[in-house]
Amino acid sequence: MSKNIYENATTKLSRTRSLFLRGWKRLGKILSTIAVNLFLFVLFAWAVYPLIWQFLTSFRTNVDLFANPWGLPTSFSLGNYVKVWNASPLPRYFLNSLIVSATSTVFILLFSSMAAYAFARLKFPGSTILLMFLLSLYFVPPHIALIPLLVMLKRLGLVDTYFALILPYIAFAIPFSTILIRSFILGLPQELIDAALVDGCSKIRLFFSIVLPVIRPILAVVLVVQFVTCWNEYLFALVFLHSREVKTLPVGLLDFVGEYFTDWVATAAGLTLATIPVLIVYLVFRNQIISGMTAGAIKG
Amino acid sequence: MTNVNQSGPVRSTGRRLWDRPHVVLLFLLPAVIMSVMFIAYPAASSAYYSLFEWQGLGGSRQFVGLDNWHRLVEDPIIWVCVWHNIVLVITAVFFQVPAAFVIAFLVARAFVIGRSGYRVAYFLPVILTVSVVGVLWTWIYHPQFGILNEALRGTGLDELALPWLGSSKTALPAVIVVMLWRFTGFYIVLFMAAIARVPEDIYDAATVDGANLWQLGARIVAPMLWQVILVAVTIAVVSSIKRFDLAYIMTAGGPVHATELLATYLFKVGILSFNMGYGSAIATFLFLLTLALVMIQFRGMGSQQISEF
Amino acid sequence: MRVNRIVLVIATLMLVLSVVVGGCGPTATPAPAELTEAPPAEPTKAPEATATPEPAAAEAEVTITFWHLYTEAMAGANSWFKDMVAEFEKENPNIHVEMETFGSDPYKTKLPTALAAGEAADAIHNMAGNYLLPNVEEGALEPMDRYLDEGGWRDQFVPYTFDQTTFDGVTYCLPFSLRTVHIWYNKDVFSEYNLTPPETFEELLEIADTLKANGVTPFALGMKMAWQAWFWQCYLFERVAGYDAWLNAKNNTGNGWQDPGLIEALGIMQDMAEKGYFTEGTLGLDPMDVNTSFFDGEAAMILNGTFFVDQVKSLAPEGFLENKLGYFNFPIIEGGKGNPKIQHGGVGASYCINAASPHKDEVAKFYRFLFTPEHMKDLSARTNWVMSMKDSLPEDASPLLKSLAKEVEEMETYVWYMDYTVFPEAYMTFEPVLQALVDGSITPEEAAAKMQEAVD
Repeated sequence: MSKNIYENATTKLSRTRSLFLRGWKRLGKILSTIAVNLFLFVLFAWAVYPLIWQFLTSFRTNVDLFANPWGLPTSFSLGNYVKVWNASPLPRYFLNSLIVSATSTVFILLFSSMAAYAFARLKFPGSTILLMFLLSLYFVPPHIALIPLLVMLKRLGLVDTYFALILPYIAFAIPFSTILIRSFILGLPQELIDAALVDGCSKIRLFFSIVLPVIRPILAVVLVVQFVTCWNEYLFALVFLHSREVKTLPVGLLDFVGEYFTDWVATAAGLTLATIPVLIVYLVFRNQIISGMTAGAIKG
Repeated sequence: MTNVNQSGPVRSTGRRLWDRPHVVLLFLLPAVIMSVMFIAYPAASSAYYSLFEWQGLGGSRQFVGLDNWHRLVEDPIIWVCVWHNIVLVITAVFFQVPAAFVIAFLVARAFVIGRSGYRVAYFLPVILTVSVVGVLWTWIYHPQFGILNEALRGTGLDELALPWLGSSKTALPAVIVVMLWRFTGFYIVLFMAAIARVPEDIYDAATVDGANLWQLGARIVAPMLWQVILVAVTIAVVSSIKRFDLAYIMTAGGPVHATELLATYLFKVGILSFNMGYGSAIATFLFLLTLALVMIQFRGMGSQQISEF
Repeated sequence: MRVNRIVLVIATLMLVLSVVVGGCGPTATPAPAELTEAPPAEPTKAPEATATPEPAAAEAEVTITFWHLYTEAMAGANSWFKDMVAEFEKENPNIHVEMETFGSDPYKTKLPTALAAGEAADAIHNMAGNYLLPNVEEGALEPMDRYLDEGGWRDQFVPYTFDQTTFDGVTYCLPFSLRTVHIWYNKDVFSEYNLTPPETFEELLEIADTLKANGVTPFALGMKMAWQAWFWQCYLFERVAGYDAWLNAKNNTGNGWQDPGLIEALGIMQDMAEKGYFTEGTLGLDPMDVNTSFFDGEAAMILNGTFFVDQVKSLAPEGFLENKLGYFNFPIIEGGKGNPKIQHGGVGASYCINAASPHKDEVAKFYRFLFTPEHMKDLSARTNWVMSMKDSLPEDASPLLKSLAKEVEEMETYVWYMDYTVFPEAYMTFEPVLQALVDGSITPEEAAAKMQEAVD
């Protein structure tokens, strides 16, 4: 009799205890989830606010801005945008940047993925050395290439043309992109390759029909990063180009920097305009990146 | 457990035209030609120029042997720069990359609201023009009008409202914060893409075994992504030493060299001060330093075999 | 697969597009220039003997390229140049001028690299003073004496302006704008505290004390780039030690940069910094940034060049320029050897001929057209600048401009900008030295020693 009561009591006690523990664990989980979400949100705000600030500033006036940098625009007037658009051949600079960035990016992707494939999948003598050589080229800072490149371009008769930018952009992006893509190709499961080979696939077809689609996520990353890099690049654009017909956006935007002062709000407008294409490219290819991520591309 | 690790190279069967080994050359050719022509050649020229006294104005060059190099070794500013660059490297490798991994993992696997928003947002600072970033953060750090100090004053922490970019003690950390803000997003996206390739069954199996999120991340996924992490760290090291734009725009290397980096000093000396000979020496030195650090990095990350990279 | 095909198609299209659009390139690059420069094995000395006989009096079509710094943001100067080019081309139908503008800072990168590769324009905007030394040493600039001696052109310029563009007796550039540095003050703030412009430096410091006691920053100063701070130092140097001491320093003769007067001047500045007379956090502030505090009265005064008027016009609140802006000259220091008739400033920019250009005569012709009193008056009217030519004050000049022009007229001579006083590499070392001085981390003696070291 008493035994039963005792058993009942202990069972109840242990049940309560396990409930209690589970409750704790659950609370812990909830708290940590909240913490994680909070953390990520703060990071989000931290990442995004400056862009918002730039956007808002583009609608204000210099005077306003200097009086209160953090205030809101009194009206969403497009005055600065009009000024920017009219004051310099901005549409032309846009076009130039677009041509240069797009062309460069396409070839960067093509050349780098080809080379990455060769390094990853094809065994050949000296591949390690070549890879190390390529890696070391990544170490080279662009500044020192300024004068030698300018002289070279001049001899090739390419100064003040689109090629003056496209060729160096492609070249400088290759080491970085090749290495990145190679590491992804290396991670591809052997089964995939074997299956294709069994089907009698040649190496080239293998590259185009199997490998490229599968590494889409990293290609998307490289595409966006390189497009953005080319779009924002400024040093070569300044030195290798002279005339308005070919000037790219970053240099063209400097038309708003006169001797000793900057027209902040107009610059904000110009920079916002300049950011839009990059944003579009990013949003478009984000889907590629995301689809690669969520599809869990390779199911064991 | 499914092994998603390295697979071997494809052997050439030699039967069809496309299968001959020469196809390798075809694939490598464009990349190699371009990099040699436009990177290797100018870099080599630069190393060559470092042996001359040259103003960089197209005029006469005078052979001075290792004079520029002697100057480099004795120049106290160079060593200040090296120190600063190393601080950047340490921050990037031991803080930025791991943090990016953690964030990427959390966004990918934890219970998170607004996941797609985060995916977009974290990358945004990376795509902004450097001038925007520089200007914005200069305003944020402004001693009188900047939001940082205004917030500090608002919460009664007046003593902390320092002139962030104006004091030689706080300038470098302040600039580093901006670099973190700007570049971490890249690593986050990189890791997110890599994490996405981990098959779902890994997670299933591990959760069945009772692994929590932390163990999942640290013990299982991280080792699987070793390759990518290695690449990320290499990128972190190299870009930390090459860094120029942000430091130059925000502080021009000042005050009193507090944020001077090898690349900013190189720029000031080589181009602004018309001493291309010495500038080239600095540039070549920068290259050699990067080489050394990357070698150390490889050792440190345990890749004895370069091919593991 | 499909995606890849699309990508390849796009790539080919882009390639074709860029070849068509880009390869054709703009008509800017003057073909003759490419041919006459025998492609050197390595960038050699700019060939003085390009030996191309200039198309003398020939009616051959000539295109000259022209680079300057007055972008659309500087509307006055920009429109002037555009108008001048149009007029010049009308008068000289065989000469076509291709004009391009660049920002001031980017130009400091662009010009050297362009000159190095022989890619610079025919007519180039340049700085002045010893900044030009490297250019001159490399023979990158064409001497202009032979043009200036023609028809008394030289006499139309204010004589001492050539000091900054002449080396070893040879004049290389045409002085353009003439700047002076004054202390600008906010009239409202001054009247609020019953202050009047001082006669002596001691009075100035008293004013500063009063302002400080009332929570107003006496002097707005941004030292991220040291040029604004150098205005202070140059004036202090002159006012303490006298013009001759400055001349010695510039030429690295006599006491050079270790003149006790300079050390004293550096000490004064360090004191002022310590007493908090300058904007807080000045070392991290861009000189442009501090304008804000001046405009809204948080800082009462700012030592700045006459180009400041442009900034006030476009950035200050309504009516500031007309009603609240005043200026006075840098006062003398009692007991110092300074001369109140000596100002700080000088030639702001100059125009040169690229020594490698095959169209030097055409460029000279173009400059001759630009640099006439009549056209200078036009420019002055549009910009409120004082120019380096005589009689260049427009009749309907604003009172401010008239006043500034008068200052220039009454000036005996001037002390140059620091970055025009010493050659570029030395200046690069000077900058952090001044920053360290204001920071308080080195003593005036140490600072002077470092400066001397840099110049040697």
